[in-house]
Amino acid sequence: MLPPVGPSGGPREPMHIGTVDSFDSREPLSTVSTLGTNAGSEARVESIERLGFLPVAVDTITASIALPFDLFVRTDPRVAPVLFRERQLALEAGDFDRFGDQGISTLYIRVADHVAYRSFLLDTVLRDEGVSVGKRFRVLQVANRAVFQLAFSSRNADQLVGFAGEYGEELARLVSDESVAACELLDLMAHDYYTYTHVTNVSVLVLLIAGRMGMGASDEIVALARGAVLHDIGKRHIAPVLLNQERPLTRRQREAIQEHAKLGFLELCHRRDVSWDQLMMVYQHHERCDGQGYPVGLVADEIHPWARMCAVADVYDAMSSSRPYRPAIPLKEVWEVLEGDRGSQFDREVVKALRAVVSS
Amino acid sequence: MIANSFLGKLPCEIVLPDDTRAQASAAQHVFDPADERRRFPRQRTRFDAALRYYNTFPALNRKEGMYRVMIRDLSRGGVGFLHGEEMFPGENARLVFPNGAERYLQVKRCRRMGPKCYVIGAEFDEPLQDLTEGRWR
Ligand SMILES: [Fe+2]
Repeated sequence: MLPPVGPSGGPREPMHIGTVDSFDSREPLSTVSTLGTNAGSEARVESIERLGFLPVAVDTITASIALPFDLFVRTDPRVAPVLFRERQLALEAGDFDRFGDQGISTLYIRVADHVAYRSFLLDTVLRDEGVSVGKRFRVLQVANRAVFQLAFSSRNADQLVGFAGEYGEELARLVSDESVAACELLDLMAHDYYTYTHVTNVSVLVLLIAGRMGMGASDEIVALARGAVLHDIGKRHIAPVLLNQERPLTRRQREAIQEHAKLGFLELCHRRDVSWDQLMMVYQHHERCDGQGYPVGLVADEIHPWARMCAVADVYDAMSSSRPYRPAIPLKEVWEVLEGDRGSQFDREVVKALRAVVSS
Repeated sequence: MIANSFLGKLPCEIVLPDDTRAQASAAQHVFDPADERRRFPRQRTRFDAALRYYNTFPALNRKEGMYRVMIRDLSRGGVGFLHGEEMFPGENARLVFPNGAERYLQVKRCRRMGPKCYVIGAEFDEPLQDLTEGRWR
């Protein structure tokens, strides 16, 4: 039997780390981005900590391995989670059967344990060559979601840069794994356009494009991945209502959103742990080869090659994902934009590499 | 005072764009969206000044020395000018006016008008005392 549930009173649905088989996040772009402002970010982190728990998917836990965190269960959404298994103990096969019988797919950990949970996932699944690449990729995403969201909401860029360092390296390692087929990774991508999902997708796409274009040096690939993880960091400073506005933007609103490239650059430009190449991904990923982009209006190879890759990956993911103000755009139309008349906006070689990756 | 002959000898990398529309646009200030928010009213103007990079980003490998830039608008708090190189937000430089007055500036924005023509908007570290054109010309 599962333990009895405690008294009711979870104030609100806590931030969801995600599930392995569905990218079930209730963390919309707006909520995450609000955190960019100091007041918002403090309030958000505070509220997460006040809630005390983070949901984790049952199938991210491996049986018979001691857990480095306490695990909680909640059988009724109106009541708070109660302790199910103390740290240092493991879940056994019978536990999973009971979860299945009772329709429980989500367990809970304390917020304070999210780093332990992440390490547990990485150690038990990501480093396990016996686990399919698909599962490893999904676990990588699940394991990092909460860390990303907390980092994105933090007061300064330190946490996010640190996160980009680790996550970028993990993504680069996974994508460079020769047993991984690009199409397999593409199939696994979610298209919800939550910030974290977008960042992950753009990073993977950039890595696949770079691989196709012959960029081989592993340290360069890792640096590229880290830059991609950071590319939209400036969105922390844009009002979330603007990012999610359903009605058409006014010229001034559009200009306010466009500031994110510059704001991201300014936030990172004096850091020693962010290279100029990476900075250019942040600053120039909305530049277009025909000079119609922003913030500067550079043309063709005046734009940094890493930014040109990021631009194509960014547009591909943005168009093929649903937005608060429109559904996902069919892939056929996405390709028309990237390759058609308007294709002069994008680096032809980069688009060709993406096409090759997608149809491989 | 900086003699016009001195200014005239400084390297100037600006190539004004061929087409007249782009030229006209380069000739006026382009950063109107922020206008209403400016602390100091801006005046359109036309004169040359000397610019020296200062405390810039090492990755850019900026050359030492002074450049002639074309001032296009001026307020007590900042300046808009044309330059032959892209400059980056947060980048610093020293601007020497023809009358010898100097200000440090920090780049706020930069927009490309042509292959060697960028309009740069910058703020002074210390507001100008006076904006009479004669004084700064
Ligand atoms: Fe962006």
